Amino acid sequence: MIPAPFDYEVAESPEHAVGLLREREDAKLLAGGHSLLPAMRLRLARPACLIDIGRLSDLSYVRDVGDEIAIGALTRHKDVAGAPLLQEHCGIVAYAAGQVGDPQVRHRGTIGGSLSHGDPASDLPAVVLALGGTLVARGPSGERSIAASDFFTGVFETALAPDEMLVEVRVPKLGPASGWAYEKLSRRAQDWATVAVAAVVERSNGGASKAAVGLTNMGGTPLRATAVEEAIAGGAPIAEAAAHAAEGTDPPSDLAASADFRRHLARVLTRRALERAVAG
Amino acid sequence: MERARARQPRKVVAQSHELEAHPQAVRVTVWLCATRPDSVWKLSPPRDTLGLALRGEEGALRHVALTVNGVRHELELEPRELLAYVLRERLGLTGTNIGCDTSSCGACTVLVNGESVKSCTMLGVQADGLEITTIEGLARDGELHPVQQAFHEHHALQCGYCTPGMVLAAVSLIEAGAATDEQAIRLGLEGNLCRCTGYHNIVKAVAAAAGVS
Ligand SMILES: Cc1cc2nc3c(=O)[nH]c(=O)nc-3n(C[C@H](O)[C@H](O)[C@H](O)COP(=O)(O)OP(=O)(O)OC[C@H]3O[C@@H](n4cnc5c(N)ncnc54)[C@H](O)[C@@H]3O)c2cc1C
Ligand code: FES
Ligand code: FES
Repeated sequence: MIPAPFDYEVAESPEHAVGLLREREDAKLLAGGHSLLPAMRLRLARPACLIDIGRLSDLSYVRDVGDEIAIGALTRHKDVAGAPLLQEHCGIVAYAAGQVGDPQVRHRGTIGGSLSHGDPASDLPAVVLALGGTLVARGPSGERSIAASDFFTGVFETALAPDEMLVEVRVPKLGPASGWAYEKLSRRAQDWATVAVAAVVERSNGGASKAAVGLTNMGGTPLRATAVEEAIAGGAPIAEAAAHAAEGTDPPSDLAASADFRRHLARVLTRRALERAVAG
Repeated sequence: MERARARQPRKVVAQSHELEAHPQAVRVTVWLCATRPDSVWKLSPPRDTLGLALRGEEGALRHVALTVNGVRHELELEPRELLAYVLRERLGLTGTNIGCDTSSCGACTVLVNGESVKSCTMLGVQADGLEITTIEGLARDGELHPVQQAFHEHHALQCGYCTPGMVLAAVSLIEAGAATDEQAIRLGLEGNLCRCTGYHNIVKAVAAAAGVS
């Protein structure tokens, strides 16, 4: 299957990419292409122009910026998974990037593409949401920061304006009392999550005093399991708190699972994620 | 150039009504293509309703230089030509098989700058200036590559359709130092499907080539 015809431009800088986005009718950025090209081959997407940002190697980095780790938007999943800075300070991001698809997908797909694509079944959005991360977008009038909680607006929709490009993702360094886990369940190798749960906790006395929980594929966007977080903050034991995991969610029914099964999975995987996060 | 655009949330994938009606359409369709190709036609609207014929003209050709198995090729490519087709149709390197054509099966795996990539999910123009290795480029002076030799010795193929992709995925895995034990090899080959062997002999062959038990 061959995509419909399109024009192809190679961006030489983020400014150039943003300029082209304004200039060209019906244009899309092409990063790793591992969400966009499959959709184009199926003619589910048919942009008139692709702006290839895949050669902007300056945007492939993982850097220590004080209290946060900054990740360039063009950093491939493989490089996120293997980044020592992330493994040391925010291991959940590296771990989740290593759970994306298969090695071939991780050799091409980028963290910026994963977040900008706005797919509620993707792994990194729920992780960045649970971490309270920040997304840095560049538009015609410069850069702006968007909180992860404001970024994901709908299925395949984000807060990025048509002429904006995501350039960086920032995640906090986790302290020594923190624990994390990402529990992903999928029915087939290399598949997206049927449901997955990202948990980041503050450990105290063998339990959790505080938790942030992100849900993958439990609605039109990645979600925070706020009822679980409140229960933990109120001193509830993990098993009790996790029972609230499906509250306020609107999971899809599809070939992989019914909505009911997804609600069940959310509760089970949240319990496992919290237990694992507390354990270390 | 200065055309102002309203600041509104961006629809990232498609303007297609299908996606709105069926949020999981992309993944579901990909899945259907891989598992039930006959049903896909029912999901995808006829070409003309998508405006293919209306758009009419092809994208402008681009000059691309690829190094494939050590040989430099200068090509004029349409941007929409996928690397798998460039290798097969333009360069006659038909060892790169196309199985699913939906990024799922790994039969089309090649090495791009030494790393495994599904060549059906990369444009030829994206490979401009890069080094590609296909299955034809592995053997040296009539000697099979160690991974090929191990596949031979461990009877790691039956029909052979998945084999070129499987071998190249394994080469990439071993080079990355990730083929550390049986479990790592199984996980590392999860992007490659085999409909014949049941995988055991493939895993044995890769373990042997990687020098792990
Ligand atoms: C077989 C297969 C299995 C997969 N499994 C998983 C999985 O298990 N979990 C998972 O999370 N993902 C999975 N994916 C998707 C993969 O992670 C993609 O790499 C990712 O979703 C998109 O990243 P990309 O760089 O390839 O983006 P592209 O496909 O190039 O772009 C995706 C969209 O984002 C836009 N975009 C890209 N970069 C930017 C930017 N910097 N700023 C603004 N917009 C941008 C593009 O215009 C496009 O609309 C899978 C993909 C495949 C093919
Ligand atoms: S042909 Fe199946 S992944 Fe490319
Ligand atoms: S040997 Fe036939 S598909 Fe693998």
